[in-house]
Amino acid sequence: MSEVVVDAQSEVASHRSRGRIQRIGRAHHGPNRLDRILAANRQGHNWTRGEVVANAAKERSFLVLRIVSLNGFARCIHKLQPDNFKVASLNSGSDFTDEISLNAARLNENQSCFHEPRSVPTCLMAHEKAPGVLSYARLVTVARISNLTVRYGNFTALDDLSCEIPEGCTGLLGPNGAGKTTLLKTILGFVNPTSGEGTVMDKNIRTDGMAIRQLIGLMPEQDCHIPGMTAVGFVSYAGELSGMPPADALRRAHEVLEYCGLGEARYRNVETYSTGMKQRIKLAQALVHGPKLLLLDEPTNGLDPRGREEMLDLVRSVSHGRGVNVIVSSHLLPDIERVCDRVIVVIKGKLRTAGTIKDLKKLAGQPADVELREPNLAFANLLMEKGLTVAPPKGNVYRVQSELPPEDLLRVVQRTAVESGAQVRGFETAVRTLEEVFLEALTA
Amino acid sequence: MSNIKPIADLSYRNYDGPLKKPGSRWWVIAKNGIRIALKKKALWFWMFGSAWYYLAMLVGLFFFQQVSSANPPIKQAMQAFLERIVWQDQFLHGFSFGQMAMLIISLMLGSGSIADDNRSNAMLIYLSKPCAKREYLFGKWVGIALPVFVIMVIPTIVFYAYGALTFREYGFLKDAWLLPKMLVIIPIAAMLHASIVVGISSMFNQGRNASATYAGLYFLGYFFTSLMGGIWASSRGETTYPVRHLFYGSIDGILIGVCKAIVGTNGSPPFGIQNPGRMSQVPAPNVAAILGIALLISVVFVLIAWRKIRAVEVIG
Repeated sequence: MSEVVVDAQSEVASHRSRGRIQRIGRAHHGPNRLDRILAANRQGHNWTRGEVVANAAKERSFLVLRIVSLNGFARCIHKLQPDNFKVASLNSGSDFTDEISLNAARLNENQSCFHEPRSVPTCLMAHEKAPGVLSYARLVTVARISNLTVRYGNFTALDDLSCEIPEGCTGLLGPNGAGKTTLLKTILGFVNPTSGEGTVMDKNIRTDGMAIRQLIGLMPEQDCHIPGMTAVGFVSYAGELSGMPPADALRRAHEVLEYCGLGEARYRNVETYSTGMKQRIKLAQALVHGPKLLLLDEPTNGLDPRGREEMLDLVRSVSHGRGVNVIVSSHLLPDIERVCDRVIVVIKGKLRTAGTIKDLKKLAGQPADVELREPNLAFANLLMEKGLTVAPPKGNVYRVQSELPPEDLLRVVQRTAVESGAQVRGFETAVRTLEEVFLEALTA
Repeated sequence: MSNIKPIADLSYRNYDGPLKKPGSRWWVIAKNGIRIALKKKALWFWMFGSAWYYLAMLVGLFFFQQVSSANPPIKQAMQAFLERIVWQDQFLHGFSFGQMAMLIISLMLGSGSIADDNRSNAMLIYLSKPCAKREYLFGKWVGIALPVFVIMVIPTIVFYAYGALTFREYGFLKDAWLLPKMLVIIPIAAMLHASIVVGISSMFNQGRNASATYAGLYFLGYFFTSLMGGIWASSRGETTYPVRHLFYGSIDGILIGVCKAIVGTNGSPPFGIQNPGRMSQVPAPNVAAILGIALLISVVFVLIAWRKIRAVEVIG
């Protein structure tokens, strides 16, 4: 997450609706510099929500405005900075949501909202922080499941499952029969839950199945196409089925086929496509109507290594900075790790763990891995004498744990290396692999 | 993906254009079905094939009319023929002789309509879009029924127009409601064909299996009806009571029965040939009963399709 604080001599109560930006307030003085940001936003950096976080210091004639956007927006602001803004500070955080704060002059409204049309829920958050305090916003929730139980006869597929799927790219992990499929079916509105509630983009999964499917694109695991059609015919047909006018659907079909790398083969019959091409066309038909949530089931199934790389690049590019939220169901942990920001682990119909991959991989106590040129027993002994915990080495890597902050720990390690004659080759905060996280959830 | 980027901007952009509300997807599906069907060249052959009786009558009547004007003996024979002919029965024959071709057209249009979707998992595409199951089924149904209707109605109207313009003095317009009656019968036939073929198609994963099943069902019934017709004719209408009803115990029989009952004729030999007196036509059935049977069969097959179309196995 990056945070940019800029000075803007403008009034910034703006509202984005139906793809156009409407001004709510009026500028009191000076050019409305936020328009420059909005213009940049039109170029593809979609924000999902903006709000005034602090009605700070009217006597100072500015307000602090925070805009939560998808990745890329803050960088865009940062690029515009020399011409338009004075960047007060820049903090980096998670890589899937940008958050910027603007100092904007004389904003009349206490709260204002920016949002992408037909996007994730756009309700305003109440002020949580004191005026003048810059803060991170909560992530917007794409889907919210509460105490959901789904039964097929006597078999309970989902058992009192509750989870929130935030915007960004979320991986759905679980062994076979864990309930992933049922969860996705429920999100699509195909399955009526036995009990519990759920919303997808503020639409009720019990009653608004059709409206939900209007906002969702599904890339199924199996090969699926409509027989006897060319790729462009198939994708534009999928667009028309989603409600697009025929001319728009055809134009959009060409665009997404190009984007998915099928531009050259778009007039070929889909039945003649290779496995990799069929995977891409499934993605193209899911994207054609501009869904706000994309459900991808095993997107790399049957792909060769190069095709897999390309597909993952494609998924990542769609899910980061394009305003499309993605749920990826996959058994391949490296794929999930590569494209997703968060994971939800479902086992036997129950939510076992959920969170950002970064957080889940963290080890308790934040140990560090110290890589030496060659194993050195004296180095380990000296560290232990200084009160640090050193795990048995794996090769020439020592896992060191202490209460010290990472900077201080590094200094201690360096000093100890000098004292013991060890050559330090690497120092990094130790993390678990996603596989370890998954196995731990599985066996818990 | 190629690393060589063309000049065009190929980056992903969201679609912010208009989206129609759900409710009209059936027409998208029907249109697509018709578009794919029209690409089949054989369909055009069978379209003309289904109208062979009307075409033969048109050509024959036109030819003899031209020849008879310069040839008094032929003119006399033509006169006798025109006075003898029952025009309603020509529509009955045009309709019933075309049913075999309509079966083939229905199979070409519809046997794979749902079966092919089952085979290629296209149901996942349809039902993951804002397209309800009823819209999907209705779209598939219209995609068969509409072309069948059009294919049947065009030769009927052409023949009617030719007859009305040329033979009105020979009693062609005696039944003023003949064309409206035909315009009621043809949709019923289209409905029956479309419903049965959709229902059968939904039961299979291969269009050819659905074709074989419907064709088998049709021909078994056809032979049965022919047998009953033969028994009736050979007994000069004096056979036992069930035969006249069993004659309508097939798809072909039902359609002939619907046509006879609505047009209000028992039929006569085709092409206006003289009945030597040995042949007896099976009497028309009760209108309500035969329409009820046609409707019931249609509903049953549509319900079969409804049961078979499921939004299952959407993910893995």
